[in-house]
Amino acid sequence: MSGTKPADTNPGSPAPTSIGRRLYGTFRLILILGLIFLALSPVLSQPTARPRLLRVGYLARETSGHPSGGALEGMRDALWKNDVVRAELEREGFTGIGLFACDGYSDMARRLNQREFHVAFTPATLYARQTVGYTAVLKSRRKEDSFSPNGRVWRQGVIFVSSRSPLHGTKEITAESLADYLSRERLAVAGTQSVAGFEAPLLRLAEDYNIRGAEGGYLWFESSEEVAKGVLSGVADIGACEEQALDRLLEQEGLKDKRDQLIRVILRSDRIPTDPVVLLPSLEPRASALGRELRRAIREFSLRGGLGELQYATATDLDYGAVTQLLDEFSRRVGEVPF
Amino acid sequence: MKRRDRNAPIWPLLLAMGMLLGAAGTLLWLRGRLVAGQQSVLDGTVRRFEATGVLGRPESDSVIFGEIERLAAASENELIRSLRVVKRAADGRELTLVPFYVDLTEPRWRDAPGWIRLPVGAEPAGYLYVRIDRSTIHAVNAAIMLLGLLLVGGLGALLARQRGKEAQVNRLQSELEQRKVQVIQLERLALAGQLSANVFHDIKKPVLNIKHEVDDALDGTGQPIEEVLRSVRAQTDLFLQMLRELGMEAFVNAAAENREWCDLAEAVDRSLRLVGYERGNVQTQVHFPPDREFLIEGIPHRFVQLFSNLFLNAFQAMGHGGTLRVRGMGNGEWGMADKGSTGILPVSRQPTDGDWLVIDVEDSGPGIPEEKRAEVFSPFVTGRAASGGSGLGLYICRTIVEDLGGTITVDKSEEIGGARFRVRLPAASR
Repeated sequence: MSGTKPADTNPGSPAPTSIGRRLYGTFRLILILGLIFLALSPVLSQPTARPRLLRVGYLARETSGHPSGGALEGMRDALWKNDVVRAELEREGFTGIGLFACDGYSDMARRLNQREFHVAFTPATLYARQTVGYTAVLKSRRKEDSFSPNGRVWRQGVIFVSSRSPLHGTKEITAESLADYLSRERLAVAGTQSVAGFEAPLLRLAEDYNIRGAEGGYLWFESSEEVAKGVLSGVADIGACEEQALDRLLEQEGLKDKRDQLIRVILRSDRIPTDPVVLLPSLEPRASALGRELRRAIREFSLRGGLGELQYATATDLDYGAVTQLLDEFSRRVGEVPF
Repeated sequence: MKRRDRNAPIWPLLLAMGMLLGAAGTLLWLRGRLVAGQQSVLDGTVRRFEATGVLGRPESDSVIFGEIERLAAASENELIRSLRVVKRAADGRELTLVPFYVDLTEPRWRDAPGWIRLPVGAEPAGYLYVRIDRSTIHAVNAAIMLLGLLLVGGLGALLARQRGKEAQVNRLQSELEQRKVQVIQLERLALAGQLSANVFHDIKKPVLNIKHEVDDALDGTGQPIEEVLRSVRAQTDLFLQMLRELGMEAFVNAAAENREWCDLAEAVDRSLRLVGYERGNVQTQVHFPPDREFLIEGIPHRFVQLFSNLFLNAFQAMGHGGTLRVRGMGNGEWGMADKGSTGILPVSRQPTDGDWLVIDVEDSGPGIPEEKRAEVFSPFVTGRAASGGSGLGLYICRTIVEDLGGTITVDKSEEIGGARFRVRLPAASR
């Protein structure tokens, strides 16, 4: 092939190599990244704020004596929107309120003993057995609960039979006949963590009739209401539960007037305080403004109907001395209470 | 009140009934869908209880009322108005869990009507008792019943209308029958009139003889009066004998329409005598099998009318010469010998159901062209219009034969060449 070769325009300058072009490109990239880093450095240099939640524990079952789920979420939102509470929370370094559900009694007992919750909606039995100094500030109250003029709220446990039971028509129930009956029939109960529904009536059974538990066995239900339904439906013929729950159920179904036809109460326990709301010792109201505001705000929220029929009244540790004493007595006369 | 027009068209009624039928069919289909839908809802409810296992197993007493009550409440809907949940306990008792108190307050609630019991599980852990809203299905049932009633009413109207039509047809038939009888009677009179012409001709002779002899006697030119009177008596005897043998009087005056057993051979014989004056030189052959009777239940003078018409037609077709052959066939056999003019056939056996008596009337005349044979039995069809034929003779023959359940046909006589009329009559009594 023939032709002329193009002449160099600047024959004296050295020709740029490919290595030189790459080094130039890399330098330019580093320069740009450096400028971006310098521009963002004030933001990145800020210290990272770790969120700190006020931890509220509760039992994830609707049959507990406290509210759960949706009602507690409403309460949490109300507390966070409460200016005074929020100011106190922020002052204490809390960035929010977190709800933490416990799977069961043993889970809650373990987490209470690990001081995991700042606030806990707990059964009275767990409060009585905790050893880390939680303090009771509120106690639950339903309209059917008994309360005294000085503000004490209590419930009573009962052992009762349905009209299917031969004891329903027996004129006088003796210790022997009751013991004989309980050796043949299973006793419907609401679980060991219901003081009024389990320990209190069984302790009274031991005290009055010298019967240590149900020899025929127990039929476990989730709550006092379920026990009442179980006995009225015929699943069991004898049961132990909170009397207030039994009465509430009969009233709901319009059966209050037929109470004596349908059931017979064999024994009634001592008065038992209702389940408490407890705070960590550091939030104890006498020492903590946040503790005081939390107690006030939760109570006001419940009084405004935020928790339905359930309300909270002020409580102290003294209210629950009877529970501790009852549980000790129960352990001594009936046996250890399992979770 | 305005009377309904019986001739009003029927199609509006049929159309209305068709629409009612369609509507009833649609409602039945709808009811089927409704029932299937309800069953589906009930099955779904049972499946939900089975899937959640809230009733547990029969041997287990573990019950969570809250869950069962929530499920029961969620299962109530527009169809399931009320639902009760029953658990089968280990000891076989059935415990009502929802509502939990009902076994105490209403121990016999299961006996109340309206509850549908649905087992939950193959080995039932319990049962659902449901009361469903039946108002829709009751409404559909009522609508179906209403449509059914309307359909029955429509059918009734249709039947009434049909009955009316039938009555009308029966009345018309009755009138037609009366007319037919009248026509037959009139035709008989016409036949008699036609036959009377020749009779009168023959009668004229003895009457003229009498007149002439009486005239001569009065003029004093004739025989003595005693002879004249004898002659008159002989002439009148002859005259009466002629009339008697003719049987015209009996034929014309026959008024009874009662059925009786008739001998066809005798009817043939009487007919031949009746139309004898028209016979001319025609040779008559009558053949009936000797071993059976040709008995048939009917009106005697009608048979005479039948055969007289056929014979007269044959005579007139042949002019004054030829052969008329009458044959009777019973039990599959033709009469073989000349029967003569009269006589009752010996009884060999009575006719039985399924037998037919066949009488052939053949002549040696020109016959009837094949293309005209179909219409010779129609009324007012005659080949002798000029000579006064009414055209009713063969029509009357067909009417008489068909009234007896028989048939009459015409074809060509293969043996003697003219027309052959075949009268076929059922032998059993009618």
